[in-house]
Amino acid sequence: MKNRKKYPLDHEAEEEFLDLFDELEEGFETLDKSFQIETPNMQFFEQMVANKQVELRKKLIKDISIFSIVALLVVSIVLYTLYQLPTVFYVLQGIVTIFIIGYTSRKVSQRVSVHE
Amino acid sequence: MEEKDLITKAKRGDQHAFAKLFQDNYAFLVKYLIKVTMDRNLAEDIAQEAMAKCIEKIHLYDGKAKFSSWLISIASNYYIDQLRKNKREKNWQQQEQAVRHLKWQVETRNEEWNDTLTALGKLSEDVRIPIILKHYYGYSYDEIGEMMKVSPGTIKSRIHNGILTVRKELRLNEEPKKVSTRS
Repeated sequence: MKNRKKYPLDHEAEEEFLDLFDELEEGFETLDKSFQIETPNMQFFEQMVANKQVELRKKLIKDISIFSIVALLVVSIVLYTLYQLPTVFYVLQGIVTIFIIGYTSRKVSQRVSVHE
Repeated sequence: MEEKDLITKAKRGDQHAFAKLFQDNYAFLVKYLIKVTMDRNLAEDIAQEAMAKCIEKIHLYDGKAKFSSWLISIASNYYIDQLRKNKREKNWQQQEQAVRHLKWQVETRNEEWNDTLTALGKLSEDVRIPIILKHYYGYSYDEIGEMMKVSPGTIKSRIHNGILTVRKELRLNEEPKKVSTRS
């Protein structure tokens, strides 16, 4: 019973497993003793951090570019339909509103049925 | 420099602070992952991937838990996600092979292999990880639940069922030995 004082049992019922817990602990200690881990030097970790930061920066630029292009495209389509094809614009607005109401009410009813 | 200062600097993108945090926790993380994966090489790979994730998510670290705890939580979730993606959890043969190899590595270092580890290796990761965190590292059910993003009740039942399975497995292994000693 090595760490038992440090990590007390949560429940008396666990007492029947005491021997098993001790064996598990011994097994884990054996693994810890068996493998000497060589920690790489600071340079290795610094290089790893630098590479990851460059990768993250590139990803951020890519994501922002895609977002901007899509946003610009959507705004252009909306403005074009509003000024050139107002009927299409109002039909689209109606469809989107109906879709949002339908989707939200479906989600709410699903949540209510789960709680019931 | 204290861990808190290093984390504050790391959050600002300081490479040296990150490197120091990783260097201080590397051995601890790999040793934890050896117990989880039962495979030394895989443990080192997962450790590096977990550190990369850590750089990405450092802004989410609130400092409530120790940095090492946060690191092993990221590593555990990364490992489970990878298994789900690759559907490796179904490959029991591969897992058994890894355990056998680990046993061989332990025994060549003149250490005695413990059969509970073989039994533990047969459990799924969802069960093995909470057992390791609870019964070796001493985390509470609440802490493990937070780490693995499941409720403490689920963790408690996983650990209980896992322990029962390990005990059953050990008894099954003992039976043939008893029979063979009688004959």
